[in-house]
Amino acid sequence: MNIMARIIPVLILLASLSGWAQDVQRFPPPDFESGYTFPMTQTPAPRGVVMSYVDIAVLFAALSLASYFSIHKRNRQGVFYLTIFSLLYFGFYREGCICAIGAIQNVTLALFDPNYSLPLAAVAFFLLPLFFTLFFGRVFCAGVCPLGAIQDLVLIKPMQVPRWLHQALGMLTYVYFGAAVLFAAMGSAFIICKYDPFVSFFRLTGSITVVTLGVCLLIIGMFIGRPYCLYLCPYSVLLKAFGQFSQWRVTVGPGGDCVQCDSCEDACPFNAITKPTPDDAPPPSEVDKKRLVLFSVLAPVVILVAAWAGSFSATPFSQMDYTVRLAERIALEDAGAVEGFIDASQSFRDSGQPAAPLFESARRIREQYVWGGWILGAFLGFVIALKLIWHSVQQTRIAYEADRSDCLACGRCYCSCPLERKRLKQLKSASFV
Amino acid sequence: MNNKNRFQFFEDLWDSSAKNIAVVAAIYCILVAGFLAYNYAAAQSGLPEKERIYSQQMAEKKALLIEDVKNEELKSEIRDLDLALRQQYFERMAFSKRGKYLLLAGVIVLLLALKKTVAMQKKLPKKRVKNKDPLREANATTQARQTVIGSSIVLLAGALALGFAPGVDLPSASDEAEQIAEAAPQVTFPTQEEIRQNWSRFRGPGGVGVAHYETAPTTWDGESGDGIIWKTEVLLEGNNSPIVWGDRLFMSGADENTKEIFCYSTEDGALLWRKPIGMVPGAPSEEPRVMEGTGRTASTMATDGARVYAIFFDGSLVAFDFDGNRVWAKNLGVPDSVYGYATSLMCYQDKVIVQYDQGYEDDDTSVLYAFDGKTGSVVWQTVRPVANSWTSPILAKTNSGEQIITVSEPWVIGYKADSGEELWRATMMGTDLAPSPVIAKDMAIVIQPNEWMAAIKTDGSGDVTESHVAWHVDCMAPDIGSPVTDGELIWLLTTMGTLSCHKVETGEMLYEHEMDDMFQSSPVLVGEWIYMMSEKGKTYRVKTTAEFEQAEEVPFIDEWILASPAFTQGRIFVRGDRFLYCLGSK
Repeated sequence: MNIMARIIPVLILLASLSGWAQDVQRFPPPDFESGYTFPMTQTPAPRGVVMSYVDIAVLFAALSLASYFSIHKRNRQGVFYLTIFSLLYFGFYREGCICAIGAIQNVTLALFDPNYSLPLAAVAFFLLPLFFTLFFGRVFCAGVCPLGAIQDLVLIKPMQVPRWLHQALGMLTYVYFGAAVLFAAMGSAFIICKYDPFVSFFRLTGSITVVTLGVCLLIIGMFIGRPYCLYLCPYSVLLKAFGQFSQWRVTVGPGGDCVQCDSCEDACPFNAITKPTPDDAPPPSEVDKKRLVLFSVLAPVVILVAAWAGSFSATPFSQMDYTVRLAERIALEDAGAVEGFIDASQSFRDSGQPAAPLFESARRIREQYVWGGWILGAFLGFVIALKLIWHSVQQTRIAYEADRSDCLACGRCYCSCPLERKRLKQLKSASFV
Repeated sequence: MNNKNRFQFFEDLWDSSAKNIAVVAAIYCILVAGFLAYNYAAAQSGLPEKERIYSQQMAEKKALLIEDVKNEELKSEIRDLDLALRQQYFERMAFSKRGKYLLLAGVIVLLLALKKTVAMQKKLPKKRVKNKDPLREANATTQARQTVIGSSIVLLAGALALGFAPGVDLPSASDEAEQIAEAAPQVTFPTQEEIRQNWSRFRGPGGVGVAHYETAPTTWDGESGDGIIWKTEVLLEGNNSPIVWGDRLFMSGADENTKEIFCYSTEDGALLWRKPIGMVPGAPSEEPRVMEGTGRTASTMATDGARVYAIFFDGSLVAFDFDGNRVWAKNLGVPDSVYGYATSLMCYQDKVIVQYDQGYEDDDTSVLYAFDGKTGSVVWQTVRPVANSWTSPILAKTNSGEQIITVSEPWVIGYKADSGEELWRATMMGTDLAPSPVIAKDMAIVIQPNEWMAAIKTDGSGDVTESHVAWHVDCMAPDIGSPVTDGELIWLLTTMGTLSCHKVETGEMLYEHEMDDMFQSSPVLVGEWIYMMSEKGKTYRVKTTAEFEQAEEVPFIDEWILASPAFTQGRIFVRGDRFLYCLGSK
């Protein structure tokens, strides 16, 4: 059965790639006159204003329910059913769009491009989860986010990721967040949407690349809790920051009591439980204090070095921009470095536009990316410096706690807590002798 | 059994059978996924048998259609096959869609059963020995710091690797200038000698109707086939003239269904390829009005030895390489032309020059374009203050450099050939202009149909109407055919068959001779002879002397000829309304 549980789903998911990826084929139009009149190309009508308000209302209601179940009622079952609803509504019904994660890009673009009209739904989906996080922790992740929901449902046999690897992979979220903001600010690409790994499941169609990415993440997600949320989700950067200041949040034991049984740590598949510090832990030594001062002093240097390194990303990152890609292709074709034309270069040539202005535009975009690279690098440097300082400050914890920023408020920890179960009359005694 | 017991019964049943359900669901999912995978693989790596056969049949029928473009039955069969293929395709799509829903349902059941099975198999957690190490927290933070530093080093290395990855250099304005300067000695376009050896545009090198050979075929017989190396059927109508480069002959044709380029072997007349020009960006969706006399392809193509260029009545300009691959295409807008667009193309170095005259002189819609032959991008363009005309530009080597000379209503204009900068202009021309200019003794010789001929010195600047018109003579000026000159004398041939000879120096007429024939093609000078082909296919040869001296008239065949012939070493290529001929000795 163990073999079945691990191998068969993998086989099925891999094979299902073919089915999901098939819809992206297109049949060419007839290549001779047939009297058929091609319809005018139309963009889909925007979602009705009323329906946008409905989406916002549903989001607000879902966040409220998530807060109620997770924090107030401490009811894991309620969170689970809300997860199912969110998957069906925000995932399969709304086909993954609009979502709070992608809304980062809409908001960013609106800040940098005055001509971009920011939809109200995008603002609401961006702000509401952050607002709730500020009060109740990451309840959005707990039962509202469809991307989290689909991963939560495939989690069959959770395994703990070694803490060092968990921390190292966690850096990716900051890189992804920074890159997504940079590309959106430049108007080059919405990479969060472009590489949304689960949207192809919600829509039952997608490119083979994205479907493959999604299937791989779901396979990993059968054993590692929510790999996308923990190591890729750019929105989690904001949620973590806001979560640090949350007024109410998940506590493992009722009233914060703890018998230090480790059950919550075993139950949490997201590495979000922090251990209590030993009672006999030595006080901070001189070395510890000097290290803290050193990291604090070095912080600007770290930021500067990271910013400088970030500037190196300008040319490759600028290739996310269509104008730059086209200009590079035209340049390669003109230099004879590549054979033939691609559709984009053929269209450009057919338009008869001179190449010089295109090259000039591309160079300008590249220069902007140099600045963007500096800022992105500085941001990552700031994160690194902050983490180094944070991990140099001695912490004191008397009980097992759900980490303020990492806890997804799913309720698994308190479900496993003997004190909580006693509170719910599921155990006669919670004393561990 | 009360409700509670019934519920308990089902719960127990689910608990005990979850494992079996998982197995069944897994098998089901594998089967469905297998069908989907096969369906996908079939579509990706080669069609199913039935579709492959249909596709082969369609390809064969399309090939046949190229040979027989008006075969309606064949078109109908292709349409039926096309429909069958589409039905197959959408059946496969429907199968895929159904399969995905079935698979989704199966995966849901499998996940639920697996979750339950795993839950049922959970063991009690092992009792762990408490880690009493007082340095545990300190070690954890040390490890965390090391992880952060390690991650930072990886990120730094990644960023530097990105920076040192080879990028694409985008040419700057200064780079382009340097490239041009560096490229100056490198010839990327045909040499003068190559141009002289070929017939690369309307009226040959420079567009002045002079072949750079001493001799040409003098006799042939359409009936017996003597003196005809080959003849091949003209597959699509068109009034453009053939052009020749090396061992290839090109011409264009069009009807209401298609616009095509044809490439023939000059050796044996074999059709090497014919290519529809395809969808042209910006081309009108509905065919513009066609003037019957002008047709859809009155403009003669041009070649720079690497690519061939063609322009059609609707403003579609295309470039093909010698293998029949479309290099670029664009539409210049449907020309506003009374008789339909008929100006021929010319190449200058690596550029294709388009004299796009239309509308009226004061509406700024006429433009002289130079397009990059390789890319189709505009190298330069000059708006022309002229109305629609049907003349073609010529390339004139003058004492003040190479000039492109154009004749339109009302201006004759000389441009710098390399930049399109206007050098001089003279206002004198009236309406309905078809004869192209020629150049002799540094003078542009221009024709006002049925009225006069004039010579304009090409060394002026600005408006030279008053200062640089060398002479102006009333004469029997042709209304369609262009003049030809050997530098000392000029010959004019009217549609009604009047041949006249004039001095270049003064325009004085030396003789006038009536021929009982009609001419629309322009005369060509070869060595000491002027070749003139009549509408009815008869060729007249006249010596290039100041007094009229006619050689034999070569009867042709029952062929209607409007296009001007192309000349290469020992050969003449003639486009009739039914056949394309290669005249010469085998």
